[in-house]
Amino acid sequence: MTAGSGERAFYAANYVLLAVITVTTVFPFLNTVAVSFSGERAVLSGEVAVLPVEPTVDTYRSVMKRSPILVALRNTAFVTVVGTLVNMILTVLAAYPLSKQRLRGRSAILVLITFTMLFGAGMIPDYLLVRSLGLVNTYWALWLPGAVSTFNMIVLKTFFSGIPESLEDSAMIDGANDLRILLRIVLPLSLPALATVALFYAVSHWNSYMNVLIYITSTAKYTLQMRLRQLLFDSSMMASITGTIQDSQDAQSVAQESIKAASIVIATVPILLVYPFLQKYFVKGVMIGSIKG
Amino acid sequence: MKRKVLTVAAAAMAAALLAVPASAKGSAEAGGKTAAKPSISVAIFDRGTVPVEKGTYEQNDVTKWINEHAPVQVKFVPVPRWETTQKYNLWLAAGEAPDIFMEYQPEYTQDYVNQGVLTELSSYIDKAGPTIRSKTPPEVAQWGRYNKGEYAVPQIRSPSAIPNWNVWVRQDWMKQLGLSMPQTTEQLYQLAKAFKDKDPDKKGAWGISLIGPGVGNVYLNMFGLQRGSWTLVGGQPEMAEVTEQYRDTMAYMARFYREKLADPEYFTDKGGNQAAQNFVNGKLGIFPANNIRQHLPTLLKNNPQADVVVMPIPESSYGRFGFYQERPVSLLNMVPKTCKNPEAAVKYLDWMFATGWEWVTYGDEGRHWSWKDGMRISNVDDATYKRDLVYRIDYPIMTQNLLTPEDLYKQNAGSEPIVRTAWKVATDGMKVTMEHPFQRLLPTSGLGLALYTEISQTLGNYAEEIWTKVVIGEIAPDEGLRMVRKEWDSIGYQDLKKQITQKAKELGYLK
Repeated sequence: MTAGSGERAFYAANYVLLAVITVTTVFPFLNTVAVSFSGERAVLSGEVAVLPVEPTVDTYRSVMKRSPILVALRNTAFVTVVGTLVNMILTVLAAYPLSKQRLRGRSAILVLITFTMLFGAGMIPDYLLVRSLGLVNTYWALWLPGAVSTFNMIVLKTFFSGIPESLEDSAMIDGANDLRILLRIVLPLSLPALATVALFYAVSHWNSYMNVLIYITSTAKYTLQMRLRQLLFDSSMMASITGTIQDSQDAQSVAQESIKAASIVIATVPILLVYPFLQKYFVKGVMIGSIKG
Repeated sequence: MKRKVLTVAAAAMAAALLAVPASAKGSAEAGGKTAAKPSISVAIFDRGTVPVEKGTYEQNDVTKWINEHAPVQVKFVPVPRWETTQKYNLWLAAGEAPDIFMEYQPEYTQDYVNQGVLTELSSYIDKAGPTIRSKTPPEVAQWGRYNKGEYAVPQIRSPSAIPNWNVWVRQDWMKQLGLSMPQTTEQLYQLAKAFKDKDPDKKGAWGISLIGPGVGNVYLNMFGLQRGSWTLVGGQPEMAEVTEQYRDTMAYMARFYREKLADPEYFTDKGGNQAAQNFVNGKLGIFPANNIRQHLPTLLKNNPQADVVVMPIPESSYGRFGFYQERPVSLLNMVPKTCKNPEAAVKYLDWMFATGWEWVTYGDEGRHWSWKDGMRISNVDDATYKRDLVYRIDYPIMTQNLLTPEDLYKQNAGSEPIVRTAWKVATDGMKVTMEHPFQRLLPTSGLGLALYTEISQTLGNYAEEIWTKVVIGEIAPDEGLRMVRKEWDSIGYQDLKKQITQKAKELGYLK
């Protein structure tokens, strides 16, 4: 199949356009990296584009040594890994029984669960509850209240319902009990769905900000999003919104641009390393349910 | 394979379950250690500036020193500076606010007083706060009183922290062009035009900027207004945004925009960062900014010949006013109703005010500073200060560290020429800005009215949108004023005005 001249022109225009778009999306990344390796004068004068000017690694040295961002990164990794595990175990254990016709009271339970999707108590009642459970300032406050996302649970339930009943029947005849069927038959058959749901959970843990702000009081337990928010909070930005900096301290404690950039780079690298390997699941996962076959 | 996964998962669950009692025990231990001293908790603004090697906001050399020297045992509770309101509201609702917490704006204190969540402190201060009583000047002490009660312990603001908004001019450009410092808004316009037309550094400079880092709208100040504040028109309170003065300010700014004397992209330059960048590259002649010390060293490194000076506020058709400045009060320290020992809280504030602030602010004599001519002279350079001392700034919540601009210069200038110049320009500028006091016709923007809190944001946003269009020439000034007035009236501005008038009379601000 050869393309006509009109088509060729179209393709050429397309490539040029896409290349331009790609460059504009990549530019901010390159710029941040370049800033993080540049000298302060050059950064403040706006001389840095995609290559470092007056290159230095002092910024990284100082961030590594003094900034709490590394601790926060570790905390976030911990919260994400354990949190996702808790999510997955509880979500699977809720979704599987609910996918079975023989479960008595199934629709009543489902209605109750769906109800929580539509109505929430609000921030302060939530806080009071978590506090009375003694979870404030522990990571359990991040893991337990959202341990089962109704949406993800329903996605899994629907997927499980699609697995032929006869497959489980034959396993039952071979002597497998419910747990064994779940672990040996259902879960291995549901890997794409599980991966998607796990990714959803992991991303929400990684990005979690509000819950950390509300429930975590000890600075040693702060996560990455807290620290990034703190770093990027710009008092002059505030001033243009509220009108004034009454807080004269604000002006003094603004972080250097290059330190901000270096911290962002450090915070982004782990995701960049992992994402390419996970992306295929995302793509696959989003397609789930769109085509029945 | 699958079994292994399950075992790992189960182990993780078990480990996690065990972690709950363990952490609960940890916090009980920390709280249980009480010596003879009473213990209190105190909020500390968390700006993320404690270096990891020094510890955390809860535990570092400063908190250790405070606990050794203060008459009370203090547990510090960090509150993220960028979300203080959120955190305070949550804590107050849950009844677990720290025994001392603080904010800058009196509006917050007024709100909390209205909600009835603060302890009235006068009897405790009489008993445990001798220094607070004797050393707080009356114009500062008044900011502790709300609804006829004493609900906050105000911190005195250092004189050098009072000037807030400034406008800086390239003096070398003025000299080169044979021009003098503008005295009126018309002369300011002429100067901006000359800078733009003659472009002394030949870099394609803007004459002036409509926005700057750390400042709001300085042009409103020239016309005697402040965005979102009440002013008096014919003796009646009126929000700045619906006055003729506001219209005239916008028309004035529109001229800079129309004639391209200022960067027309100003409304996307939210933090004024682009303006700052233009300034340090010699592409801006008149630069509004809060803190020139952040920008001047870069300009001087790029162009050692540059010479910058503050501009006194020019006179407008409405008279000569002042650029925005602070009240003589800084932090307002509050004690929640849930505090079990308000006397201990006041005792701590009094101790910090009397003696504690000195070491907490300055650090060790000899190492961080030394005496010279009856003044503490800093021994550390800017970088060391940022590394070793900057995290201390929020611990002295009461202080007698009152510095005039000259004091500030002597204390910090050091020996490095560029840093010295920056300090000199900055502190000289403060003096000039302070010569023209900022006028507050009504002391707080909302006077604690619920309706104000409710609608002021909406009002302000709409006005901002319309007035921006006036500046960029999409709407005529008169039409803009008519639109803002009409829209505001339709969302309850007249009611608000009535309430404010009444409240201002009640509080004695209006006859």
